[in-house]
Amino acid sequence: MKFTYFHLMPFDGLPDDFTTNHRSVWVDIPPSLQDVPRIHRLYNEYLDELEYAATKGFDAIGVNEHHNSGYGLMCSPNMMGAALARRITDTDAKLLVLGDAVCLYNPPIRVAEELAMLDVISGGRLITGFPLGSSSDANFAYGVKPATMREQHREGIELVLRAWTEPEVFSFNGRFTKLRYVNPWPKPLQNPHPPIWTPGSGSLETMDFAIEMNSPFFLLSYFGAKFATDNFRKYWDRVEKAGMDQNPYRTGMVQVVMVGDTDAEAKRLYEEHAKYFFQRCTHIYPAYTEAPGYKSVESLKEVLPKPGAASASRADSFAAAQKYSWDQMVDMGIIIGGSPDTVRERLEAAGRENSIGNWVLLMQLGSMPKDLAMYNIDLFTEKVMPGLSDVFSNHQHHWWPKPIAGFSPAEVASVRREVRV
Amino acid sequence: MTRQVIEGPLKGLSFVVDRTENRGGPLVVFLHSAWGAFGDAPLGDQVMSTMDVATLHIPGWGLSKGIEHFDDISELALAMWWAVEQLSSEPVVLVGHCLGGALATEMAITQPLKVRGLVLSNPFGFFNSVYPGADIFGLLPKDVMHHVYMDPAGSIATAHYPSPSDAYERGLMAIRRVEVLGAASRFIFPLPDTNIAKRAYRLATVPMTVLFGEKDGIVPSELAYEWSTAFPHAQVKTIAQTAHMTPYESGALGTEVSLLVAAAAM
Repeated sequence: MKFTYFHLMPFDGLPDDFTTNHRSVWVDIPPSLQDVPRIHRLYNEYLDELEYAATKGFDAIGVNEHHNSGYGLMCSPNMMGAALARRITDTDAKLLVLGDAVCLYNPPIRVAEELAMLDVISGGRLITGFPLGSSSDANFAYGVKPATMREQHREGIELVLRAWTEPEVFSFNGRFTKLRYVNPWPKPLQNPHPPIWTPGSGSLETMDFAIEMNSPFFLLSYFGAKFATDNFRKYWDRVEKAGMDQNPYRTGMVQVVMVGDTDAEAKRLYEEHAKYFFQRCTHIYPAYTEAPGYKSVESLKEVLPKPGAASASRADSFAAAQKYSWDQMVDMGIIIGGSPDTVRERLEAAGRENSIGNWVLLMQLGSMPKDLAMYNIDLFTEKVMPGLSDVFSNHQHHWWPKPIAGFSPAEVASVRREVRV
Repeated sequence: MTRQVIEGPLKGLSFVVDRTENRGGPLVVFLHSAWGAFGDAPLGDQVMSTMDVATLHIPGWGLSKGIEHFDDISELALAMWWAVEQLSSEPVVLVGHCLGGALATEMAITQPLKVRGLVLSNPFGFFNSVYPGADIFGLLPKDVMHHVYMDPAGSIATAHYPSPSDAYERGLMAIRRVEVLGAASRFIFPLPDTNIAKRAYRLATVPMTVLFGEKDGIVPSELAYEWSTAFPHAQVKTIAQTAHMTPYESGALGTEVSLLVAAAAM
């Protein structure tokens, strides 16, 4: 198994009355709630956590992209990636950019350029993930038309891939982007290009796209692997139908993980921060989660209640999760939390049951302070990860950065420099 | 009423036409709202019993198919003309409600000599950030209804949107709503400004009436100013005690069509 320390960079200053007096944490959250000096501190503390996770042995550290949001302050994953790229060169950690929804960039050649820069600066450590983009971000914050964004997404990825791999300057005559001269300088260090993962929220279209791209499918869900079993079953069925192997590294999942010395300590340390996240950070006006046209009719029908049902409510919804206690969240697998043994057993079980080879872990959540996040990192890397890294070691990970023959990374000066006289 | 399907000029494009053929007068082409077509054209008994009326289902909204061909409302307008030309070789009266209003305007701009008159109700096409109107793409059905209907629990609203007790049936209705609004998003997302103002000069000689609903929460009646400025020759009226569904909540649209057709015949 591979483990990525992933960050949302949440705003920790949402008021106590946020859910009762404000409609949404996303899209139209009142600007008056911003505390910019506090955000300065948060950015720096969150970057400290990511660097520390790399130092402690995580296989990768990960950043993402959200807009108009108190849920995540990372408007630019590439900017955060750049802040990290030179600070992890003395570790083995890779850099996962699970952002860059290409249809948010006009022209999307910008994505090819900036990710290539990150790959070169980091010495070929980059893993990319091209999400379609959440509806809140892409449609409502950036004004991308929902009805055509999937075609735009596909076209953008095609442009990025060609820009990275074509040996000559070429012209691109797309429906959404037209360029006479495509010629990014530099191209990525990894040849032909960095690994590409395909994140999605469970739509069939995204699963099929991942299979078509021969790219790992990443389920972006906050409700844990127990609720995702049906999604993974659909995915693996489709993989089988496509005649591909059942390599667990074809999948990944976001999972909240909180480790304490004991189950009771985990509850005592983390409960309030988990509740902050599931009560305030995910308090999203439901209409902002899926603009009309964002998902196909087929995908919408997949989640319809059964004929005759009186209610359409779901246990794996943000609305339901607002009322959950710590114990309920742990029981339902929304949080894998507890002692190192508990966390290790549950992660392994979830991984084996669903054949999940890549875990993208959320270990700082909601209002969790830096010291506690560091403690979580310590316990996980020292007492959980060592027992899991060999799981699936009989499979080859084809979607992970590989050593580059003949390449020696440049020396990176330490942060505190001597002043030359 | 008879229904016919016209296969379009592009692959997979088809137009469904509901036609009430009566003798005399020009063909009246009705283009329905972004919410879909709700049965007969809402033009009142007099128009429906005396005039030749065709409700042309817009691809993606009604039963017509092939919306994926169109990224821009002017492209759709050209295809709509292709269908209208199958119905009449003479100039027509274009009547449009809501998004159908924006589309009818675009069609008239494209071929003004083929339009005897243009009657619009609650039309999209302009945007003013002081009077933005509700975001139809960013509101739950329960939150948008009072912007659309004078009485969200009244007979008109419940006829348009019945509420089955079965959650599955409710889900199917929600999906249908998402489907039609998804189609609309091609043309009026994120803002319903279709840049009509830049091409308004094309309609200088086309008789034109624009109706607004006094309580319309989607296309605010304050936008009458934008329409009057862009189309100084147009008659612009605000209909009291109606919201966004003015054609269904009053007889004003049918009355205006009758007046325009009578004036055009003189």
